[in-house]
Amino acid sequence: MRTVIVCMLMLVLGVAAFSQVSAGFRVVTSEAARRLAVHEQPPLMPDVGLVDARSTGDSLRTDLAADGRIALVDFIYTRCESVCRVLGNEFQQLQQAILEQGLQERVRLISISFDPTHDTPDALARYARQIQADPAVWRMATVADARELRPLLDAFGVVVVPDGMGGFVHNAAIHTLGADGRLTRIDDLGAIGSALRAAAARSGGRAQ
Amino acid sequence: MARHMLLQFPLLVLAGTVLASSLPPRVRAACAMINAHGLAGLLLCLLVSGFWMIPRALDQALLSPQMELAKFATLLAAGGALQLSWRGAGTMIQTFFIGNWAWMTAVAGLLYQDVSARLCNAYLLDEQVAAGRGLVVLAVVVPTVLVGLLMMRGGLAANPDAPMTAD
Repeated sequence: MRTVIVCMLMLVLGVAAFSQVSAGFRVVTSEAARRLAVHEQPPLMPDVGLVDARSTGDSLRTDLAADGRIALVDFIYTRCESVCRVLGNEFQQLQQAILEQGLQERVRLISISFDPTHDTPDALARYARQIQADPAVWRMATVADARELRPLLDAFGVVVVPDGMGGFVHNAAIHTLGADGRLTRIDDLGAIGSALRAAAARSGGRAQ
Repeated sequence: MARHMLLQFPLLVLAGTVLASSLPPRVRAACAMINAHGLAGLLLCLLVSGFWMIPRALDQALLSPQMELAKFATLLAAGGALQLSWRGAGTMIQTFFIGNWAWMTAVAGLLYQDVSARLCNAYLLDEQVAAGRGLVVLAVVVPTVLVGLLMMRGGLAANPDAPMTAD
């Protein structure tokens, strides 16, 4: 009898633990959990200082508030050969779609490098030219202070792992940030259409 | 990932069994009171090993010290519970327990190999595939060893090589 009670107790605790780690049996991966959490309660992103070739001062939230547009944000490092090439492509396509649909007054792109040692403002400017980023739509920046990188990545839920070949692997995605500095949505790299539609809808317009 | 799941986890469980075997008889007797036929202990083992196959749990163990601590504590406890429960369980419950554990582990291992996306943000895709293969190997090896042990002990009546004991 005692064994039965102990077993029942353990099952209850077990279900509670499984439920806790799977956000109520809805996710099994950290990536799904991160997206669900953002969807349910958009978190405020930290106000880290960002630098690019044109400005050295503006912090993330100041920039977002001053600009007023919805920002689609990704994380990059310019030496990347694998998924970032794809992400570069996705953001190139996003830029094209924004311009084609005349959304540049309402939606913009920000790429933040998590490799500030190599991606100096000059290197980022070179990279921007190389992939034909339009400065009016697409900002390339990195953190002003490398110590602020970790809190920024943690807040976004981005985990960067060295790939053993001098590069990095990370959970790349399209992050939607409002002018209020809140992360409201995370889309797969491939889902540029739905990311842009959602951003356009939120900013009061309609995307095709 | 493979080292995490297939080296650290088993070593922690093993450490748990060593710790439990050095428990004083009074404590062992107290544990036995709530662990008839080793049922409670083996259930704990199943719950703990199932939990630490969830990709998010693995990620969290790397990101949060509390989760890492919980991982050490639960795996040690599972090892201890295994030691305290195994003998009392008898062949039937042992086989049932290992059978359940093996298919759960095999399914997790097959999923790890099959999913083309990374399940853990902290691990690369090839590490995930390696861990998946290792889990499947483990899910085959452990029941095989169990059957081997039972045959050596003559616990399987259908085995003609086993020494027959007179009633």
